[in-house]
This record gives sequence, C-alpha cells and structure tokens, in this order.
Amino acid sequence: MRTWSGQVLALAIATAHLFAQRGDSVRYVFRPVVVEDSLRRVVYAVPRAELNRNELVQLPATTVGDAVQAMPGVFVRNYGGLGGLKTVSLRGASATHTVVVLDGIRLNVAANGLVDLGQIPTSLVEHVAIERGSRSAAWGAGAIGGVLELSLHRATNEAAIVGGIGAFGERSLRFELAHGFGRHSISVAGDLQYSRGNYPFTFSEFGTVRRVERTNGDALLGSAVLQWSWQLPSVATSLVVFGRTSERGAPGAVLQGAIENAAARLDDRELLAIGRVETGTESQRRWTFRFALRRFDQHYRDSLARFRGPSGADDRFSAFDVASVIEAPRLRSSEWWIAPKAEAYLNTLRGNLYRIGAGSYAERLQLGAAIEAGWSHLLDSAQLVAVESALRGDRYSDVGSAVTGSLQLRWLPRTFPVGGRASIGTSYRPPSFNELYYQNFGSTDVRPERSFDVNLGASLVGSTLRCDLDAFALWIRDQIIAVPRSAITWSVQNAGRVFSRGAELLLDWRDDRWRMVASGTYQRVTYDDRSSFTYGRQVIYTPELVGMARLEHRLWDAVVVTGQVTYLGTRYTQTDNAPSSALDPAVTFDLSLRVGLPMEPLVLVLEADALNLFDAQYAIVRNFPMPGRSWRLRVGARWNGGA
Amino acid sequence: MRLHHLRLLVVAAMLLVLSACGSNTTTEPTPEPTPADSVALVVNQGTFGQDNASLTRINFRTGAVDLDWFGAANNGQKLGAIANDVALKGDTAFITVTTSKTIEAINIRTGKSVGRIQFTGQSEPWRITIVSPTLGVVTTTNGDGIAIFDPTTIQLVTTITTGPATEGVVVRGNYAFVANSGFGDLRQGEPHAGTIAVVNLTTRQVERYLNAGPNVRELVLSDDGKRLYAFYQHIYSQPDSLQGIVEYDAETYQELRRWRLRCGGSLQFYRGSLYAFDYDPAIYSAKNILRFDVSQQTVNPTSIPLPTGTTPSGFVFNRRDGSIVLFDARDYQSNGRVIVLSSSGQVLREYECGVAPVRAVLY
Repeated sequence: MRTWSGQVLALAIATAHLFAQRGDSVRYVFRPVVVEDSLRRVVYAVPRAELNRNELVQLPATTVGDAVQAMPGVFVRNYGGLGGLKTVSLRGASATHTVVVLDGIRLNVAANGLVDLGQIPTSLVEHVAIERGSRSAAWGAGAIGGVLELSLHRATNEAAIVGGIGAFGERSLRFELAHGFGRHSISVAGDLQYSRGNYPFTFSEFGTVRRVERTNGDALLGSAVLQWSWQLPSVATSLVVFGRTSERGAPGAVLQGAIENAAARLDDRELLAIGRVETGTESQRRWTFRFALRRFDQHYRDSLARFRGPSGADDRFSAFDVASVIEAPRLRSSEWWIAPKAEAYLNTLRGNLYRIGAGSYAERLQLGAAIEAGWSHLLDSAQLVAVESALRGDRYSDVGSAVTGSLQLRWLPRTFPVGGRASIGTSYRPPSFNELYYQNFGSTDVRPERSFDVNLGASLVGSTLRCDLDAFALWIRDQIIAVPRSAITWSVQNAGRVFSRGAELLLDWRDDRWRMVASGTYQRVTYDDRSSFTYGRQVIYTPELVGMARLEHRLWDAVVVTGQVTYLGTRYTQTDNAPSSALDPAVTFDLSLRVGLPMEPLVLVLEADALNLFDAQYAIVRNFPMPGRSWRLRVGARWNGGA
Repeated sequence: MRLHHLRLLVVAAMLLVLSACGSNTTTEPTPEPTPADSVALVVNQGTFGQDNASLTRINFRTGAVDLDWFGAANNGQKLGAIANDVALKGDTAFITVTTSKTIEAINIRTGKSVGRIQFTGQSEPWRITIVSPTLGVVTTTNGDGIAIFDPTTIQLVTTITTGPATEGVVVRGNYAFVANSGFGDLRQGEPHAGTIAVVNLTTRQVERYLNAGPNVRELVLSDDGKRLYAFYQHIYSQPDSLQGIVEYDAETYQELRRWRLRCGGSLQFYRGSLYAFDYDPAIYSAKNILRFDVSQQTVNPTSIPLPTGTTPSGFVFNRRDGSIVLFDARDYQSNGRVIVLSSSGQVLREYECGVAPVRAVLY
C-alpha cells in the first residue's frame, strides 16, 4: 500500500513536470497531486490561480498590475494611467502584505514594502501565479495576504517585433531575440511604452460638472530582460538581468480648486541580476543556488511643493540589495519528503528624508532558514490524504526575529473529480524603513505585524471544466497604521487589528473554440479592535465584492476575440463607513482581438484593444480618476527561423 | 385683454407648480430666531486628498444637526479640500479652504454661498481674521505671507510677503501679527522661520520680526489687546525639543514671559485666562485643557480633564454660558464629534459632525 501511494506521489510530480513543459495546454501546473491520471484531478495545497504566457497575451493589459486585477482574492489599488501606482492586495490585507517574487527573489522594496506592478510589462513575463493566504513559512516576510510569483519571459522566437499606437498619445514597442548555440542559449527582450496620459474625465467643481483632462499624467516606461543559460548534464546555470527605467508625472488627487502634485515628477532606475545554479537532474537530488544583486534609484521632485522649501521637493532614494537563496536536495521516501532552504538578504537604503542627523542611511540584514515537509498516505483504495507543513525562522538585524509555520491538508478521492483542501498558517511583516525612520512619520518603536489564517477549499476538475472554491478567515494583529499626531502630522504605531473573511470562486470552462473564465471574490474585511468605534466596519478601500467574466472565442486558428467585464464593488474612504464616503461600484467592459497570421517564415501579429467601452467614469482611489473609453492597436511580426 | 391676463396667470401657475416639482429645487430655509450663541457653525477640515471638507451646523437649543450644511444648502456642492478656519462679519461667514485655495463666503442664516475668493499660485488661505467691514486678513501658508481682502465686496485686495509658511494671524489696531512657522523641520533653516512678523497694514510693510520659537503656529491677543500670545510647536526630528507659549507686550513688542512645556495648540484667550491643549506625546493626543491665569505673576497652569477616548482637535468657548465646545476628530478618517463640556470638563452633550472638526463660530 505504501509503495502504491509513493508511486502516486512520484507520478504526480512527473505529471506536474510534464504539464509544466506543455505550457499552454494545461493551466494549473504547480505542485499538484494527481490521484488518477485519467481524471486529471488537481488540487493545490493552498488556493492558487495562474496566468500563463498565452493568457497574458490575450488579455487587454500591458502591465502586470492590469493583468492580475481580475484574479480571485485580488484587489489592485490603481491610481490611474500608465504611470499610476498599481499595487496588489490579497484577501483584504494591505499591499505591503503581498510578497512579489521574481524568479525566486523577493522584490518588495525595504523602503515601503511595496512593489509597483504598473512598472512590470506583461510582455516580459512568462507566468504569473498568485497564492492566497498567510504564507511566510514558505515565502518569508510579508506574505500575510499571499504571494505573487512572476517568471520572466524566456524568448522562444528567433526574433519578434511589435509596435503600437493608442489613445492619449500611447506608443509602444516590444521586441525579442533568442539564439541557441550548443549548450548555451541567450535571449533578449525589451518593452517600451509611452503615454501622454491626458485622458478626459468628468469632475464636479464649485457646483459645475465639467469634462477635464488629466494633467501631468505622461509616462515613459522602458524595460529589458537579458537571459543566458548554460546546460550541462549535471549542472544548469542561468543568468537573468532585468533592467527598467521610467520617467513619469506623479499627479495627485484632483480636488476642487487644485490638482495635487501637478508638477511632481518621478524617475526610477532599477537593475536586477539573478544568477541560478542547479546541480543534478530533475530526477536526482539536486541543489539550487540563487544569487541576486539589485540596485534601485528613485528621484522625486516637485517644484510646487513649497511646504518643503522655496525650491520645492527634491528627494533621492537609492537602494542596494543582495540576496542569496540555497535550496537543498529534497530528501524523499515513498510517503514523505523534506526540503530545507536557507536565505540571506541585505537591504540598504539611502534617502534624504531618513534618520535626520544620522547619515540618512538604513540597512537590514535578514537571515532565514525554512524546512518544508510532506507526507502522503493512501487511506484505502479510494482516498489519498496528503499533509504538507513548513516551518521557518528569520533573524533581522534591526527588528528581532520571527518564527512562522503552516500546515496543509489535501484529500483526494478516486471516484469523483473533486478534491478538498484545508490549511492554516502564520505570517509576519517587519516594519519598512519608512515606518521606522522616515522623517516626521516613522517610529523605531513599531513591532512586526502578525497574522494567522484558516482556509477551506475544494476543486472540481473535469476535461473541460475547472472550478475552485475557497473560504478563508485571516486575522492580522499589531498592524502598523498611521495615526494622527496633529491635524497635519501622522505617525505610525502598532494600532490595527483586522479580521478578513470571505470566499473566492474561479470557474474555467473551455472547448475547442470557446472559453469562459469567471472569478469572484466576496470579502468582509473589518476593523477588529473591540474598543474602537470602528469595530466591525469595513476597512477603507477594500471592496466587499470583486468579479470578472471573460469570454474568448477562437475564430479560425489565427484569430481570438475576447470580451471581459469587470466589477468592482463599493469601497469606503472613511473608517466609520459613512455613506457619503462610499465610492460607487464600477463596471468596465473591454474587448480585444488577437490575430497571428502565418506567412512563412513569419507570423504577422495584429493586436487591438477597446478598453472601458462604455466610458465608465470611476476612480478606484478617490479623486484619482481612471481613464474612460480608450483604444490600442499594435502590429508586428514573429520569425521562428523555420521552426 | 382679460383672456391674455388669464393666460399669463395660468402660465405663471404652471411655472410655479413645475418649479415646485423640480428635483433640484431647494426650499429656502426659513431663518429661525435663535438666542445669541445657540448655533455653532463647525468647520470640518476633511482628509487630505479627499475633497471632503464640510460645515456642520448645530443648533444647541433644538439639538438639530445639519452634518453637511454647506452641501445641503448649495445643491450638493462641495466645500472643497482641507478647510481650516472661519470668521464672521455680520451675517456672513468666511471659511478658508486651504488646499482648494478659496475663501468661501456664506450667509449664516441660510448656508447659501454668497461669494468666493479664489487664490492662485502658491497661496493657500489658512487662518483668517476680520478687522472691519472692509478689512480682512488671511495667512497664505505656502504663499509665505498674508492676503488682505475686503469682506464686503468679497474681493482680494493685495498680498504681503512675511516669511516661510505663515499660519496664525491676529490684528491689533493698524498692525497684523503673523506667525512664520517654517513648517517645523521642513523649512526651519530659512530666514524668519520661527518668528512673528509685525506688519503695518497702512504701509503694507513688515516693520519687525519677533523671535518666538521653532514652528510658531498660533497667535492670540488678550481681551484688552495689550498682550500677544504665541504657541510654538515641537520639532519632530528633535525628540528633546520642547514646545511652549510666549507672552509679548503687544504695544512695545517686548517678550515678557515664556513657558516651555508640552502643550498642544488651539490657543484661546477667554475671560482673562489663556487656554491650550495639554498634549501627551505617548498617545499622540491631548488629555487636558491647560488654563493659564496670566494675571498672576507666577503662572501655574491648572487642568480641565478631557473625556477619555477622544482625539481633541480644537475647542472654543461658548461665551453665552461659559461651556467648552470640544472637537473630537476620533481617528481623523471618520466623522467627528462635537462635545459640549462644562467649565470643569463634565460632558454635557454630544453631536456628530464631519471629518476632523477644527474650528467653529457661535452665533
């Protein structure tokens, strides 16, 4: 019996690997356990949703921030326009509670704990996966709401180039080149996007409703990825260099009589190099080493910010991070496995608003060790139970240490295409440098935030249908929030308690020509401090209901038409949920067309998007208007070298 | 002719009916006769970036509260972003809406907007005082000075540069005293930061600067106008720096006394005593109101306890009965409260108001 279940587990791993190699044919490919191959039952240990390369191409999205907005459990706080900040919140937690991982390296900036997903173009991304729930034991600090994993695109076309135009002065260009020689392969891909960002919106000012244009919304984003890999029989080596730059306006809220930050500019430069060495082969025990260097410079200036002095604001921040991750070979028997991992991160930051009088410099060394273990057992001939757990310890040079853990249980019957899962987990987030040291705001007294979550879910997987349903409860303690010191000055302290609970649904049906994907999230996210008058109120900027439905139709083999409707429920901007502070629900409808016309040896590419077709006027963040109706058209060609 | 008159009468009647049916028609509120100081017009600052400053009208006699009185009286119009002060001239209240760069003038009987001064450039109106029917003075914060306006015509007259980040202002005779705060850390190194500019309103020139202290924010005059009091605030980057109050002779400009202590703002002079919040940095809030009997040679402040669980953001005295009208901003992100206290701090009544109440006038 034990041998049988061990074979099932081995089969599962092998099948998962096969699925991963098949890429587009199967969407859900990460660490599944398959009990019976013919039924292809796949149940993740934790709630998970993914977007593969093909889906990213189909979506009317140019950045990751736009692409993930309709995934279960996700709320993207979008400040509007190409250059507007876009951060991801999961399960009602804040954006700093989402860990963003790029090719195995955490991207969250030590300064504020955030990642601006509006700065990562979808054209350079191969795969997106979102794991929901408190996952620090597996992914480290910050994974209170969950994890967003990104894999950079590995160019497969010998050459491709696509250029485009769009509304509000949009211009875009993307390209990729790939070449293999012997055991080496090298590829480079780039993406350039520009928009004037002067989209119109309606605005009521001094009792008159007017249609005005967004000002200072222009943005120029440039990104590139260089990848080199070297494959030997027992060692695989790769080096990925991801660089990006952006120059953009940073407009603030549109207010009666004033537009905040009307002259504010923000320039970013980021260079990330990730080296990876794997010893052994897939079927053997192997070590994996990752090493990353990252430099991130940001320059913010606002000549009109007179509260900062006669010449306004001129702030520079420069971060330098070093990361190393070692994953030891998995120890395996027929029923259990153990996978140890260790990592070290060094984050440094220089900024002219930090630690006044103490060098304007902050640094943090983090050492972490984790062990993941799994055990599976065939209860009888019809049911398999799998248990996975993780335990992790982290030591920080500036904020002490933390221990986190998680436990996941999966149940898989053989006779029905349904599986169940249950999990619990703990997480934490250390204070960011801003929360510790930022002038007039930070406090060295703040402690790490803590969380605990429970998840119950089920998956139904058929030949044409997949359905995932999850219910969750998430408690966040010691949340670091800004509290007023005076009417104009705020400072952080551990004052927040939040209780989030809800349900998430993902439905995916397809046949040869049609595909329908629907997702929905219901979340009740409330303040949980019984002594506060806000107890039981919905946390600000957390919609109770978010939903999406997408219908794809493949006309001939070369043409795909996609329509997508997205719903964003009511959000409150006041903690007492006063009716006057409610932001109305928003419904947007997008239409996209993708054509790939083979003309040997080329494939001609045509991409057209019509966004927000019905010109919905809305804001996700109050007074940061979103674009109304707009369009985008791109043409280009791919050359596969006769492959 | 008679038929013509009849038609006119019918048309007029129809217009009357139609206008009564119109959804956006507002009924002119009937001014109600109220005793003096029984109505409070509360200025709610709102939250940064939210455009949700508002005016709450509280009738202490009837208990009626109009949460967003300005919006209700002006067809839903917003007051704007970050309101900070209010001053009265007869039946007109002038409200400074700082980020929106306006002084909104309203009729205090109806709430209707009767005019607006729109500033441009860096000038953002903050504290306001009405000197006479034709002279009003307002600080312009980022405009680094004051603006002089005519309250009768509701027109801007001129601006005068005084120093970095002007906040408080009071006028005595022909002179305006203007607090150049320097916004604490942010502009403390600039010339005249932390001083009080003495402005001759006839020549419109700064005649001298009085040293006050870092981040000087609020000014009040004694009832007889002979003493000037200035509140300067803690510099956040210097944990050991203290804040305090300075007393000047308003005629000779000589500094008379200085009290260094962790008091908060909302400086008031009432019936011979000076009042200010007793700020507790441990809870980022005030726990008491301090009373300084400045008629004494040696001043030992006494405390008026504030209700627990409040985030005091300002107070005024009701001159009719001596009660304290306290503003509770709660968490500054929700509707606040107006709490009426006895002179000893006992809670008498509570009313809801808008977000972050900071000032009020009683009439």
